[in-house]
Amino acid sequence: MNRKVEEQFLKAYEEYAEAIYRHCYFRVFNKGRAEELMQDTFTKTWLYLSRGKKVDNLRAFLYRVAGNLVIDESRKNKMASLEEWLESGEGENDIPSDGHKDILRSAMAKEVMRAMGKLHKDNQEILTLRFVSDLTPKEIAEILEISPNNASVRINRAISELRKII
Amino acid sequence: MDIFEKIQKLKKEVRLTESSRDAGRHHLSVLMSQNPLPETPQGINVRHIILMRNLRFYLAAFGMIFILAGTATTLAAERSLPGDALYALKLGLTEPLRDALSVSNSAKSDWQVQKINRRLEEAEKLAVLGRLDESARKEVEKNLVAAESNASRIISKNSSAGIAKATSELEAVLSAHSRVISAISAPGLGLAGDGEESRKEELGVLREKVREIYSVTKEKRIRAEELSVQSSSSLQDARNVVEKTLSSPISETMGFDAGGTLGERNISRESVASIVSPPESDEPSKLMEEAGQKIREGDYGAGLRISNDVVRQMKEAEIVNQASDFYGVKIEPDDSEEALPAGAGSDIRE
Repeated sequence: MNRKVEEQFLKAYEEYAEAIYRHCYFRVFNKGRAEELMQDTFTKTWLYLSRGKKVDNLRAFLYRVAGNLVIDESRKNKMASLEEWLESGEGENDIPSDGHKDILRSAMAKEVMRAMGKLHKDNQEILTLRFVSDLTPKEIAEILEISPNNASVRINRAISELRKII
Repeated sequence: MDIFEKIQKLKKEVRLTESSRDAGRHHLSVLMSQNPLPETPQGINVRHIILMRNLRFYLAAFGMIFILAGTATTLAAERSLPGDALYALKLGLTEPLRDALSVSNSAKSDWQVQKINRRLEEAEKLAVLGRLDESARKEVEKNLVAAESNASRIISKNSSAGIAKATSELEAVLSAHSRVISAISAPGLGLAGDGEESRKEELGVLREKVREIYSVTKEKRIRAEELSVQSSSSLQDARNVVEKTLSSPISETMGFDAGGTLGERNISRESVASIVSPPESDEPSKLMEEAGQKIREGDYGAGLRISNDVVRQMKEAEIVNQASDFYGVKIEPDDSEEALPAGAGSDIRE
């Protein structure tokens, strides 16, 4: 039994580490912090399991933990808004780059970061789940522990807010 | 470009580096070893546990009553051979009872391998007693095929490394009995009474069947060893399997007390080597040290292969030696192309 759970957990790391990292990145727009948050997500999930707790849907649970960690960190550090953080120039080095000074790509990344940064935290999360993690409303509903209908309504509301911002 | 298209484009460029992924994997393996899961996770269905506990209790109670009520019958059934009145009791009750009492996948797999060993020992005893005619041989083959099919099904529930280990042991059983069958088929050895020629023929047919299953088993073991190095989780399993093998008492593998575990450096090298290896080959305990070294270096795949090789050689030697003593025959190394590597049980007591 334990062996099976360990195998499933290690398999989950192989399958979802990248997706959780990307999810975290689009919430904090910082490579280093996104990596730490991804690692903390798996650590906390394992510690939860090691206390004998049951997880029915490991993938949904991982996203839920990652979402909570992002919120916790923003509260703990009294993080300035993404907009302020971006304006400070701190995030410049974290815009993905293949090493060349790709001005267009940099501008595009800044635009995405700025727009996402202006969103309400809940909308930021649901859009990241929908468009970065490519999850269906049903899967998002499981993660956020809401009904699929509610998830669809919230996705549409978040899309509207994003369109207004840009 | 629409904002959502931009998100999609940017998303493709956000990737976790391989070194970060490796570091995370390492961190998790350390975390998991330091914080193991509890023996009985709270999340498991409690009703299921109660039922299983009850089932085990009933089985144990039934076994106890059965043993008290008919110890003599049970023992006689355990010693019975195909064609005996009590043989049906052996296949239909005493062995299924042990099936039910094996809990872990590993224990279940070991017992399945042991059952195949039993089927082959029965066939050899029938032959030596002069009772292996065509119909008996067909029954033996039928039981052997059924046991092998059941064993494959149960072994396949293990991890790749667990499959490799169990299949390796089955390979040793099949290889050893192929040699024993050859030895007792030899003119003037073992076969008693009339119809020596026909029994020799039946043994030849049976040996072919054993070699056929052996070849398939060997392929399965090699494939499982390959699979066990293809992901980090299976590599972790390989490490666990080898560490468990290294720490298991040598008596579990060899059937005699050599005074230590397979992984200890200084134990029983002489006693093990005198039985298993010719002087020019590497002693099993030395190879076990090498397996341990590979594990310490992180080369879990090589560690698993070496560990399986040694345990296979030792198990084959044990079966061959017991048969050699029991039947009073000299058992030669297999001369077929699929024989085990040099050193595999070739030093047989006269």
